[in-house]
Amino acid sequence: MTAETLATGVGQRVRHRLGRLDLSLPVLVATAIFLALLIGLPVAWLIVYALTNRSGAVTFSNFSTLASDPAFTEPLVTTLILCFSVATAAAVVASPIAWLVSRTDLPGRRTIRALMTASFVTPPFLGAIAWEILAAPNSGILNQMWRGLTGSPDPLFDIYTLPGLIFVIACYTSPYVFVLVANALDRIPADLEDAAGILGASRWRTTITVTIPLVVPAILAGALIAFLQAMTLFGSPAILALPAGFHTVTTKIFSLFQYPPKPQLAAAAALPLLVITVMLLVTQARLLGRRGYTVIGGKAGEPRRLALGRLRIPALILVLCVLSLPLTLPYAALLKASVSSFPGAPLAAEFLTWRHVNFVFIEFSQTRTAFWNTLVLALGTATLGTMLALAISYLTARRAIAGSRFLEFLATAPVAIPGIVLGVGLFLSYTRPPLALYGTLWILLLAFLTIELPVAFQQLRSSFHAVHPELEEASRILGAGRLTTLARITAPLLKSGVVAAWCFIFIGVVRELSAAIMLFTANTKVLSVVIYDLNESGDLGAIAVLGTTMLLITFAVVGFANWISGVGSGVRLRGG
Amino acid sequence: MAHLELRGLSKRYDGNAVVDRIDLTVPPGNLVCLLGPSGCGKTTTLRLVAGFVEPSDGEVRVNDRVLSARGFATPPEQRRMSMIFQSYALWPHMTVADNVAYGLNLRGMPKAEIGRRVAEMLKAVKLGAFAERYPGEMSGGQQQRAALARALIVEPEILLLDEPLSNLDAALREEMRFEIRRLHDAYRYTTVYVTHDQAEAMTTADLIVVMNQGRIEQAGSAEDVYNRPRSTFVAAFLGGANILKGRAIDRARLDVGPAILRCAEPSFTPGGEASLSIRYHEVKVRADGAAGDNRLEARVVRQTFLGSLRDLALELADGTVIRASAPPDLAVPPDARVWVDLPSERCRPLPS
Repeated sequence: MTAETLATGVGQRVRHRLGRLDLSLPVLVATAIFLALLIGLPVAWLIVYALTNRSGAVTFSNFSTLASDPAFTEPLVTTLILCFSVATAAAVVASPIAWLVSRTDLPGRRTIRALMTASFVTPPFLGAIAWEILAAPNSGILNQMWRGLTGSPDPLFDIYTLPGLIFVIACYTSPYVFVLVANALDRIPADLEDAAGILGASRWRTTITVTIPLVVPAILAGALIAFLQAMTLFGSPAILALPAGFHTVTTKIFSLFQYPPKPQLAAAAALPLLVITVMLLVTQARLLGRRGYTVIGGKAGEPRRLALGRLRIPALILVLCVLSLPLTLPYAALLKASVSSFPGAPLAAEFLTWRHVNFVFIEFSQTRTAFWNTLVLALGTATLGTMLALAISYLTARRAIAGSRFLEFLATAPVAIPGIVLGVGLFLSYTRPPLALYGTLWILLLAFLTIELPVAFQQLRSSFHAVHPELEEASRILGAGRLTTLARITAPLLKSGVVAAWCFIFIGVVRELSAAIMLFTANTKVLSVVIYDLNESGDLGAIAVLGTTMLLITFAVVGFANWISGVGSGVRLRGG
Repeated sequence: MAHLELRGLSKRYDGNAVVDRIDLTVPPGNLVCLLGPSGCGKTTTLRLVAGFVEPSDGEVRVNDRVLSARGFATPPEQRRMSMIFQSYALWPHMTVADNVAYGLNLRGMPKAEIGRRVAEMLKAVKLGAFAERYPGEMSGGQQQRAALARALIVEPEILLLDEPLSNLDAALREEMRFEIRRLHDAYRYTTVYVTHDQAEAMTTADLIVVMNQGRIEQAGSAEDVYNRPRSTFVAAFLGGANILKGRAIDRARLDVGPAILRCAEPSFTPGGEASLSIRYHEVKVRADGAAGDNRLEARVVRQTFLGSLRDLALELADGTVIRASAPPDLAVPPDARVWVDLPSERCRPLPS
């Protein structure tokens, strides 16, 4: 190489380095620092508090206090019983329904699937309140009907018991199992089943020996989510267990923050939840990571449906009965309660009233603030969270820079932090300078952002994986820069994923209670907190009105988001 | 038209060389095929040329400008190249016309001019009637043509093709082979074409570069690499060849065990281990005969009628099995004794 060509070479090298100002590294670093603070700070303060006493000296006494006092160990045992029962119940009930919907000729299966999925939107605490209206031992509608029919003095079903709590939580966690199993069943390629058929297996035998074993990982994953939900939910146990006089871990942590607050003990009680969650998630990753077991490959194709024959109608009735538990009965109860003078009142004109509606929208001063706060937080978190998740998934899916794995870990890590634990951690972190955010909406925004990030990230990551990198490379080689390509090729292709992520966050924020209950102040109450408060004062009619309005708004916003994104794109998104 | 040059180009991942010190010159207007089995580094070489990958060592030069060197690469969008991808990579949210117009829009060309050129290009690739279709509404062959149109319309300095035909069925693939050569003759862009299919390379290329394990095994015209393979790998990969190993008696003769074979082109080192190659169809099989130069007896192990020829597997006296493509009317039952001729002008010494 002559001196001259060497010089040109170096000159070009310098120019290109400048000309290609690559923003992805600074963005990566900034996102990583933000995420690390967002997640690391609360967890760090939790650990600090758990390991210190009031005067700040290092000690293990918080843990020994918890371990030796039955007031703390009993809730732990209760919680474990609750979790195992809920996980089992959800898997046992939801898996067969998923199979009926995905793999048989059950009538109305599309509607049933939509309804099962829609029951996600129901906040679990609202479901618990609806079941109070239905099955409280004295005033519950179902119990009153039972007494009227049989003349028996005893209630049919008492919701204020551990079995009652298990039942209600299972109602609202079984959709997770359902969706996971139904999707897994949809993805099983027909040729795997055909291979068994051609060897002489009957349809039923194929189902039992091939189809069901293939979805076992999905059933386990669903049961795990149900387990974690049961462990970390605050609303349902607070509504149903406290009146019955028993605690779960989450309600215990909450009570440790009531006057006089014991943050050290609360932090120490929160840590086991965190540890158990991390352990379960690691176990799941191990189980599902075994290659060739979960990855269901092969040629797709319309899965063949099993003809139920004479069992069609009985199966349908069974499914409708199950659906009535999380959906039909509670919503009917809420609607009735919102216009009856008292929940158990007979359905007659003299008991109909607009009193609750009037109270909620005119008299009750907190309604407007709560609606406003909830809406601002939901819109803000959904928008910020989607942008953040988009940046992270772009960096991790498209830029093979060292550090992107760490980013991926950070974005998924909040899955392992139960809402109430995060609430405690955020409370400890932001009640002090330099960021005294407690008492503002910002602290709630941080909480919701942390809680909802993993779902949005996973949604967008899978959207990115569905967009073949060659689609972007084709744009680059034709002369478009990184940003132009992002705007004109990647973004339009990701649109449905982005909208889905936004909606997930929005719904998630509206129904969040466990972190909000630790962080709200008089001016920053959100709807879920107001509903919880009203339940304390026994105002079920007002709750019914608020709850139904909240659901209507959720549906309206989600519908609008989907409509906006669908405008002007009658395009079939099929890979080239 | 651009002059493309690769100098000592290497790409290593975790110390494993995927592309290993490649030197290659593509004269302006030439079509070069990188031919090799999967994993030989041909696609990585193409992506190095395109700028999607930074080299670990060496340079990519176009018209003596350095576009890539160790640790830096001019971004793909500044290279004035275009590329056709294995998946076609047509954007599913745009019509065919929008896909094809994309590159011209980026160049800020007036709308009317773009419309005229797109229509002209779609006609050239026989897609005139499909302008408003979405990619999902077209067959594989039509998508392939649309991808060609999108790449050609920007009048690239260099055109890159990455296994462009591997997703098509056999009949369509043959048709598109000729189509790509026809379009190249019409536009004469400097082109690099990656394939693992020998027939594709032979139909389209001015220069065939056979790659193996990240290195260039041999580069030359189709006749060159086929008739004068310079390595065991090239001989076997292109069209199938028998490789016979043995010890050289002198510069022209090799003792392969059951016989001593003479090569027309003397290049052995006397006394050394060496091998020679002869293609299946160059082995002459006859039912009777007598011992002679480059002629030996063999037993038919298997014979298969393939329509235009008969594929034979023949066992030599020492148990070595060679294959021969004989005329279809030569009917020899299995286990029959036959005579095989290995003509000395077809026995090519391979460097050891």
